[in-house]
Amino acid sequence: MEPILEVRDLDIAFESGKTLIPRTDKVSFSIQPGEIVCLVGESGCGKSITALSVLGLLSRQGRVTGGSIRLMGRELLDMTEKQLDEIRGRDATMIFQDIMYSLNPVFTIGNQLTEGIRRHMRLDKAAARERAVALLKRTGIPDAQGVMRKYPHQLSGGMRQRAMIAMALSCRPKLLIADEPTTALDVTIQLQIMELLRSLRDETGMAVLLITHDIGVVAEMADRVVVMYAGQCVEEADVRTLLASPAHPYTRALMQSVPGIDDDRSRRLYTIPGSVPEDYSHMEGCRFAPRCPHAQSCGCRPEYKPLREGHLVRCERAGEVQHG
Amino acid sequence: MQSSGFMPVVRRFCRHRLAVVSLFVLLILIFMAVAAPLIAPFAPTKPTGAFSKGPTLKNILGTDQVGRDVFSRLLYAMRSSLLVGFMATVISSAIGVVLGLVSGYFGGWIDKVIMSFTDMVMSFPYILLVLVAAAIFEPGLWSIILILGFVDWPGMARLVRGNVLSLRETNFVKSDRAAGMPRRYILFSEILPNTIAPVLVNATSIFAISILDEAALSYLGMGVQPPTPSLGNMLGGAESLTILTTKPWLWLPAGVTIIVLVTCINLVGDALRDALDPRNTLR
Repeated sequence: MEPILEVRDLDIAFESGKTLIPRTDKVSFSIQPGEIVCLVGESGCGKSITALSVLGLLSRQGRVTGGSIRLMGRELLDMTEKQLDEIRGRDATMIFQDIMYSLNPVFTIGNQLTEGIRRHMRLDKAAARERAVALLKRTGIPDAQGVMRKYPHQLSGGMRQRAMIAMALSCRPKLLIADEPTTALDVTIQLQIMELLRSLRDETGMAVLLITHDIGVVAEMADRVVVMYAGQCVEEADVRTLLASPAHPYTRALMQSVPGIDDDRSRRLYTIPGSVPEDYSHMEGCRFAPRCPHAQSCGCRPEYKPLREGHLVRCERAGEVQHG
Repeated sequence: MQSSGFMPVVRRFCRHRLAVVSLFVLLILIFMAVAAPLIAPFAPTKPTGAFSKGPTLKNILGTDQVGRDVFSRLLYAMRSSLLVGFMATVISSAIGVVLGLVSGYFGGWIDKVIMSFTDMVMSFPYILLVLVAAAIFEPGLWSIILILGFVDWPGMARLVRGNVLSLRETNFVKSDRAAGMPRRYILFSEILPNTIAPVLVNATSIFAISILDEAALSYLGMGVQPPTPSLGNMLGGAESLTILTTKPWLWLPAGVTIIVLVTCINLVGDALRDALDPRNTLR
């Protein structure tokens, strides 16, 4: 099947004064229709900018310096802003982490929701309103009619995120990019929102690119997982394989640093020493080596290659790690 | 929680007693100015009797050096002063808002060009610029409106630009872009409504400043030209020391009116700032 989204060898760089600092290094992954792919990694490893670049929403200093992004077979990097506007909202759209300012504070929910529907679906006011109410109901908002008349500050965080999702889904996109959509919410609401996203996927068959740093969310949601570290993809596998036998030391470390419910009380929670280097663009060889318990003194230069069918790893000692 | 919208703003505004009184006074003065032809007992430019006579029952604020009724002139003077203030505010707000929006949203070289120009206008010795402009163009009501309008906008442009700079980074603007909304829509239908409150507050202070500037210019003879009365040129009589000390009815009414107008406008503006502040909505 043709993938909905295919990102290949994507290089993104950020301007700093007169120099360009590379932030991602040949990021590649693809998403099939109806699939939920999680993009996992620590803060500052390039997840969000990868997602933003798909819709051409990088901030002014950022630019794509190489690679290709194909949405349903069409190359997005060659498109003009006008052509992208036709794609955005209709074929692919995005929801964000910060729920405080994701809705315009001076307009009612109904007002904002119908605006997008009217633009993309060419409906009249009454029909757009009807669709907006139906969408709000679908996202689990109890008093949809009442919420239409409310301003964002009158809603709770969970309600706001639901309204955001309703807005994103208003034009039946084929790809939804969700950048840590539940980070600002408490755990019960987080679960509800995740369940909502998954049931919407089942219903509409849209693909979801979910960005998160929460392994729990990954286990709950993902069909396939792409792990990023310091601007590179380090591992990609379907969710079962990845959780059962992670092959990259970083993936392994990430999973070990999550407390388990039936952990031995005496188990000390694992932490990865150090943090993601601030400027990793000049690093030679394995970028995780300085923090890796398996690193060899020789300093290897691992390639991103298949360990077996459908399981890509960037580590020379992947086999050992997986079984050790 | 109460519903949002217009009513809470009114309620918060009403909490400022002084501002409510000011608004009331302002409305009365504006009414008197607008209805001047109905209220004024005499024509503002025609002599009515004795020269420079103190207040009598016939001329309640006395007569000026040419024998015109001061009260009637005052009413018409408020007309020109308020008109100058209002129109100058409208023009400079329009220029400032548009330049600020464009500059803040598009950034890059557009921003640099617009902001350098703004700084240039801002750093120019203001009263001198107005004087030169007034000397080049024929002085009069409309030329002073245009002059003030084209000089007062830099503050507004900077204010709007600053607001847009922070608004364009918010997620609702990003969401709009992710939803494929056109730039024009984002700029005018999403960002602009969010800057209305500070713009309105800033406009009131431009209004007050314009009235003062009009008075200053007309006093210097570069503004509204006699015999058309304005608050500024009515003060002209105070140049002479004898008038200043012995004939207060010639300058006191205009002077007091300016003070009252400007104070009221500023008080209303202050209350408006509090009333429109979104951080107050939670209280």
